[in-house]
Amino acid sequence: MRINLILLLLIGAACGEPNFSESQGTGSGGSLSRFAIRDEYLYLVTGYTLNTFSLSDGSFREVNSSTISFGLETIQAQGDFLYLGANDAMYIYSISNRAQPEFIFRYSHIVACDPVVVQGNRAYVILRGGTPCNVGTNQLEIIDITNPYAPVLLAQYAMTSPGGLGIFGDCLFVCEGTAGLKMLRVADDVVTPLLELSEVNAYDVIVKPNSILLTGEDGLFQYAYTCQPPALTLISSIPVQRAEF
Amino acid sequence: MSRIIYFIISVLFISCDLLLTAEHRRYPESAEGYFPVYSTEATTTIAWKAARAIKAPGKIYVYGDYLFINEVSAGIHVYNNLNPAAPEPLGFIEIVGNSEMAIRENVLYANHMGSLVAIELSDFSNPKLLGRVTISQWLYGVPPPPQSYFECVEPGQGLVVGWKKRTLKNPTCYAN
Repeated sequence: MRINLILLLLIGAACGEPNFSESQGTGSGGSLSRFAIRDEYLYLVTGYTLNTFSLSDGSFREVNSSTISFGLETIQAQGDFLYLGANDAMYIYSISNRAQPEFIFRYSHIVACDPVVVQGNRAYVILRGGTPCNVGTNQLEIIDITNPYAPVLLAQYAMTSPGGLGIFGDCLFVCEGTAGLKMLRVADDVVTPLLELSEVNAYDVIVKPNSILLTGEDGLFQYAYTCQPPALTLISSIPVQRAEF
Repeated sequence: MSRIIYFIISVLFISCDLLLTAEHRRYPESAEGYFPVYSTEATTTIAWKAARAIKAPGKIYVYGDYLFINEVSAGIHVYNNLNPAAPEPLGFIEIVGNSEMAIRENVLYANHMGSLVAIELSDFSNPKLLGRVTISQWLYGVPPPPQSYFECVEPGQGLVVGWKKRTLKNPTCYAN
């Protein structure tokens, strides 16, 4: 019933002209993005550097490039901080001075560690094992980043083959490649499995308040969801047209 | 010169056991495999094209009611997602070598191979290139398909934007 309401709301919202703007002026990318925008600066990670670009009118230029470590893959910006996902660690940088990111902390693992999403004072980090380069466990970690100089591990949860992830409120979505999509509840830093879509190939996800956008090898899928009671309903799909390399 | 070295390093990282395998693998005189398709910024332009089917989806981005889907190393599909039950294809921004994107105040920032380009999107039918800046140490090319022989990459020829199937003579590179 609640799902129907959400669908009605979504359909109801679908009247009039599309809105080409955002309240913050920027949009949202998935957790696997190498680009992050904060105010008039764009931060990007190459394989081993963090580069800063000024986007101001008339001064579009690279203002900084710092060597971090090999194996950088993702970046998230929140408040005055950047969170970098790498093969061996999560890096926290301060951007109190937007033009010049400053190293704060390296949260390291012996196993592979990749994307990270941040909500409030919690970081949700994926540890990805079993790649040709790394053998380790596959798991989700919840880390208290209230003090960015001393992050504290709060919870660990075993996954199958985790990749991209996204969160809204207490509802966390983790893409598990061919093992599908998992919907987890993370209230009070306790991980509780809610739902699982095993038939989809899940690469990355963007989580909105009532819906998600999911990409994978088969295309792009939009689902409506509720966390309580747990429910996922397919709204639409844009399937891929298979191609030979 | 240093960019070339970094590219080589990145290729090694993409299949990090490439070197090990090279010593132990016995390469055939002839094998079905892949050869690289090279491109350079100088030979490709950014253009607004008609909507096309998605073949190899990459990263996604949401801006207002619009949805952007990267086509690996080829560009960005644009959809009107005002009605999520029926996203409407609007067109395709051709940006060879593209993998990443972000949008701020109607300006799309995307990588055109090793450059960051700023594209004004207010009028989709007429995307305006506002600026172009080289990205230090940007070095991504499309890795070869796994478990296959491939013609070894020559970074001097440009960025690898795709792979084509072909019978290779005396292949000396293999992707695990």
